[in-house]
Amino acid sequence: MFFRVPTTQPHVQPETVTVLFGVPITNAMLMGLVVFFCILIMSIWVSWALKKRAGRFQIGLELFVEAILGILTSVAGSRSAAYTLLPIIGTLFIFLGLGNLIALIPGVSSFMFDGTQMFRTATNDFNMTFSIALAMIIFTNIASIVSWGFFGHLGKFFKFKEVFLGFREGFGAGCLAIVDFFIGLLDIVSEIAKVISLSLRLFGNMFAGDVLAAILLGSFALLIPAPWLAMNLLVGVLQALVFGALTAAYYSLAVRPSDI
Amino acid sequence: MEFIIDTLAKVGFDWRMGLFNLINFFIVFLLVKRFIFPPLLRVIDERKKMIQEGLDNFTQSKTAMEVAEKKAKEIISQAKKEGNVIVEKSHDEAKAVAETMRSKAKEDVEKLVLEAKAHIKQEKIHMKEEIRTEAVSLVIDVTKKLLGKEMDTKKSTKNITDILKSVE
Repeated sequence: MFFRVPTTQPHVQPETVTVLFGVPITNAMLMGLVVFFCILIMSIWVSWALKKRAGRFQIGLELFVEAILGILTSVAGSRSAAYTLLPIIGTLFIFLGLGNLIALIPGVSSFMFDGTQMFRTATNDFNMTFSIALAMIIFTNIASIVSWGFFGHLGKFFKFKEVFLGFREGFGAGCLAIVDFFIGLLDIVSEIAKVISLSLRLFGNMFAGDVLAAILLGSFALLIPAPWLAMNLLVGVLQALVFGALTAAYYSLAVRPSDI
Repeated sequence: MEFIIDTLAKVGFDWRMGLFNLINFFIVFLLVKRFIFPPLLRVIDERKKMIQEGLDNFTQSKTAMEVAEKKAKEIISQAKKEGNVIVEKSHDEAKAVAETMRSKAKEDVEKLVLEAKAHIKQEKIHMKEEIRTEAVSLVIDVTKKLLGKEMDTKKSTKNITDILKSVE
C-alpha cells in the first residue's frame, strides 16, 4: 500500500541499553534521567533568573503554578491543602508531564546505542509508573498517620473498637460493626489496589498510545503523524493531570477533614 | 503471591529498576520542592502584594481625592457664602457711603445756597446803597439845574437820604 511503512511494535518491557554494576539500565530509565536533567536545569534557572518583572517563560511558569494550585484547591477542598500538596503533586505533574512529552520530540526516539533504542517514554515502563504510584500511596499513608496518629491510622483498617462499641450498644449495631470491620480489612486491599490502578492506568494509557502510534504510523504514515502527535501532547498532559488529581483526592480522603 | 510476581515480571517489573526510578523521582521531588516552587511562590506572592498595594494605593488616592473634592466643594461653597456676605456688606457700605455723600452734598449745596443768598443780599444792599447814592447825586444835580444855584451839598444829601429812607 502507498502509505504503509514498516514499523516495529514496542515491547511491554523496556529494552536494556547497558548494564551498570549489575543493574540493567533501560531506555525508559535513561529517559527518566533526561527528565531529571531537564528539571535540574529548570531548577537552576528558576533559582537564578526569577524577577519581579517577569518574562514570558516566567509568566508561563507562574500560570502553571497557579493552575496546579487551582486544581488542587478544587480537588482537596481548601487553599491551605493545595499549598501542602503543591510540592509533591507539582513534582508529579512536572515529572510525568515531561516524561510523557519529551519522547514526542521528533528524533528523540531515533537515538540508538548498540542497535538498541536509547530513549523510550519514561512512563511507558511499568517500573516507573509502579514506583511513583507506590511513592504516592506511601505519601498519603504518611499524611494519614500525621493527621490521625499511628493508632488512629491503623484504626481505619482494624476496627476492633467499633465492634466493641457496637455490641455494647446492641446486637444489631454489633453486627453492623462486624460488617464495618470487614470493610476496614478490605481497605487494606484497596490501598494495594490504588497502587496497581494508578500505575496500570498510566502505563496502560501510555503504552497503548505507543502501540497505536506504531500501528497507525505503519498504515497511514503520511497522514497520521501530525494529528497523532498533537493528540499525544494532550494525552501526556492529561495523564499527568489525572495521576496528580487522584493522588490529591486520596490525600484529602486520608487526612482528617479538619486538617484540610 | 507467585502469581503477582509472575504478572509483574511479565510487564517488565524489576525491583532494582523500580528503586532506581523511585530514587530518581525522590531527587526530582527534592529539587522541585527546594528550588522551583519556593522562589516561584515567593515571586507570585510579591507580585500579588505589589498588585494589592497598588490597589490599596489607588483606593487610598481615590478616597483622598474624594475627601479633597468634598473639601474643595466645602471651601468653594464657604467662599461663595463669604463672597456673598462681602458683596452684601460692600453693597451696604456703598449705600451708606452714597447716603453720606449725598447728605454731605446736600449740606454743601444748602451751605452754598445760603452763602449765595447772603452774598446776593449783600450785593443787593450794596447795590441799593449805590443806587441811593446815585439817586441822591442825580437828584441834587437835577435840583441844581432847576434852581440854578448852588446848594449845600452836605445838607441836601442828608435830606435826600432821609427822604429815601423814609420811602423805604
